[in-house]
Amino acid sequence: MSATQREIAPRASNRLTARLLTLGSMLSFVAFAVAFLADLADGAAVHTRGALTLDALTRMDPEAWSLVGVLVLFATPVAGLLATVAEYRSTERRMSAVAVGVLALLAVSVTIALLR
Amino acid sequence: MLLLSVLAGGFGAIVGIGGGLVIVPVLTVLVGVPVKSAIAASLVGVIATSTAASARYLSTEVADRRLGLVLLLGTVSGGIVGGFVAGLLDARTLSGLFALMLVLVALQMLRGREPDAPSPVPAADATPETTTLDHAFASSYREPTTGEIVPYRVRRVPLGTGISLFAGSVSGLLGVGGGIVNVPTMNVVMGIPLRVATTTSTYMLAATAVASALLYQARGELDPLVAAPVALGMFMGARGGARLAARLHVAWLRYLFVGVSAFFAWQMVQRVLGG
Repeated sequence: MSATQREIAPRASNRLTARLLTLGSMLSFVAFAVAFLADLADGAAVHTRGALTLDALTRMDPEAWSLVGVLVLFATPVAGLLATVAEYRSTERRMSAVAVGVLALLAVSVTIALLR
Repeated sequence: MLLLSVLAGGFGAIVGIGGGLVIVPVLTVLVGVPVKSAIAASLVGVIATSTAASARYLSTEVADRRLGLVLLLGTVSGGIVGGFVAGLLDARTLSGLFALMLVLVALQMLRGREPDAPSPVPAADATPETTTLDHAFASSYREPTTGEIVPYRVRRVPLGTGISLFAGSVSGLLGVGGGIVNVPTMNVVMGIPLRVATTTSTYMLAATAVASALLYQARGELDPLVAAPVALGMFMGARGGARLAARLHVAWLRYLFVGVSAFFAWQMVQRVLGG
């Protein structure tokens, strides 16, 4: 085994993280597409801001569906990091801890947002 | 807005500066979206494009996820700072800062400097400046064009993480991806091959943008009806732009970007001066 091969750290599987990122992207794009089509169908209808309710979704409110897409997009990298924690747990605990650190920082952002 | 976002995403991908730098002035100057909403929408667009691209880069194992995680500690922290500070600044100040960044990026393009692609450091050639931490990030990637396994060593990890803090702040403050700082940092400062630097930066962008976008959302500055078409359009444009880039004279497009940047920078400065 060469010095290069000895030095290179073993790789954890990326599969779960990659799949979660792909799934999250696709779900958000579906929500955005629904919002776009609903907006085209609605024409110049005025929508109230901020209400994400089941009723708004079933009424095909473009804003509600747009918000769903945005929230799914926010959640997707977080899910990816959680998958990364799991993937590194058995091979490199330090990397798993770093991923937990990044998640903690995102939790700080959520906390600041909620406190407003 | 969807069409403009497709064009912005495509143009940004072709000239290599990302869609955020183009979409914010387009939304602000051409559509009349308030600058903070434009920045928030751009961040959502960055999340969309980088999430989708990251999945591909991780699958092909070109992005260095280990290094990206460490640098994320810097960029996410910076994203929180940038997103927070954006709430303290008024729209005119943000417009002025964005105009300044447009000018700086345009000047960089005019100078025509590409980040250098340093030769990968053979693992056997340990130099005094490499530390134990640097050795810990030694890795390799498969070059897609040749299939060759290319080993590389990483230098100056703490410095790179510190600069990433700045990159995250810029991203959170102005709604750009942060890649314009991350990629040269990884390539030139840390000695990482350019392909790994760009893909790893892409991997980092999503979480960085989430950290600041949450703060814009909390302040009510994120309009979903603006963010949705921007995200969809930037994603579609970036994919198309990446495919077109191989067939176009990128040099001419860069001159076009300089001209467009000058126009938008001037428009944004006028808003600053006019109130």
